[in-house]
Amino acid sequence: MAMEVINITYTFNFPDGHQETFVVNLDPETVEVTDPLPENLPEWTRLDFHKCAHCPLDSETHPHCPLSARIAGIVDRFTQIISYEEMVVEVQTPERTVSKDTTAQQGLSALMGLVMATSGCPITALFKPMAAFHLPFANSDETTYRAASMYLLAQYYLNREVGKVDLSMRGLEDFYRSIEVLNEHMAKRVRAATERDAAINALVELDFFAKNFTFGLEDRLEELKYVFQPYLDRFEAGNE
Amino acid sequence: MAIILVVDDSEDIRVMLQDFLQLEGHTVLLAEDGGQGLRIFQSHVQDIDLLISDIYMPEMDGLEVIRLARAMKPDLKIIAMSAGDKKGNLAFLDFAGDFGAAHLLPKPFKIQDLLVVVNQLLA
Repeated sequence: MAMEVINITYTFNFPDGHQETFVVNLDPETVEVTDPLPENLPEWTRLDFHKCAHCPLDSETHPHCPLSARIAGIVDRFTQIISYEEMVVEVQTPERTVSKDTTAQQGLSALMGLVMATSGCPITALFKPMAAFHLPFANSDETTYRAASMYLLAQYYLNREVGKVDLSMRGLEDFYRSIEVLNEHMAKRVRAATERDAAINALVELDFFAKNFTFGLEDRLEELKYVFQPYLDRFEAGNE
Repeated sequence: MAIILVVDDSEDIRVMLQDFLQLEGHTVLLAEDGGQGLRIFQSHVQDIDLLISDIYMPEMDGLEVIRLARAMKPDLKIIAMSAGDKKGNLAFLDFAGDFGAAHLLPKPFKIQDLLVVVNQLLA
């Protein structure tokens, strides 16, 4: 059965009535953005401009950083916007519509997180499962739960395919450490492109979510343990 | 352990900074803008050991918070943080140093780097 393109629309409603709409069309099999890239990309999207230290791409074959190329249009339309400007952001996914009174920074952060995962960047590609089941405006606990769940489901498939699993979550921690490196380089790129701070602060916000996994991850997971108590009770009762 | 006031207009960043600092054993007070930050500072002026403030915020910006808090408590330890942009937001970070911030942290930063600075200032 042919799967349909996953269509996600972000609409930013500014207090003065002005709207900015971004449509993200995702290929249902590759979970990558299907829309063609603009022909004229800005200089800050060139692969060699603040290239991530761990980027596996070669500028011969990839003159532009795929992630930067995908977010360039977003950054360009928010270049004059202040991070704390308040607005209503509406997100339509195939399953639901979510609306939130929020700030430019938070709305952009949600959109940029989605686009970064699906941009074709080989580093952020590990986020594709979360993008396929996109949850806009997820808070810190929700993100921890979703990322940890994604990682453990990946271990299930890895175990079936190659018989290797990591239940210690070390791999998740390492992955987010590589995301912190990427965020640091992306911030330098975006800082070069924007007049005001909304886009750069959206990246900073995403980076703080990454820090949840690189600092005190065990404590963070311990805080979520209470909701799994029925599983532990069942095991202790010998009904596993 | 210390009492730390964190002022940042992003709720996510505020709450996560609170989590990180609490894991280190500190007590953390939160404010969502400069005005609220200053009110909280005024009511706990003797107790607060360290102020960590964003710069670019609605109502009252971080520079004003730093200036007024410093006037109330001259030996207050202060860390200023900002993401920066072409309009001079990072330059504001330098001004924060002139106003009495002991350390300037450009965002994004590593939590470990923040904690090293916090420990140095509180030592």
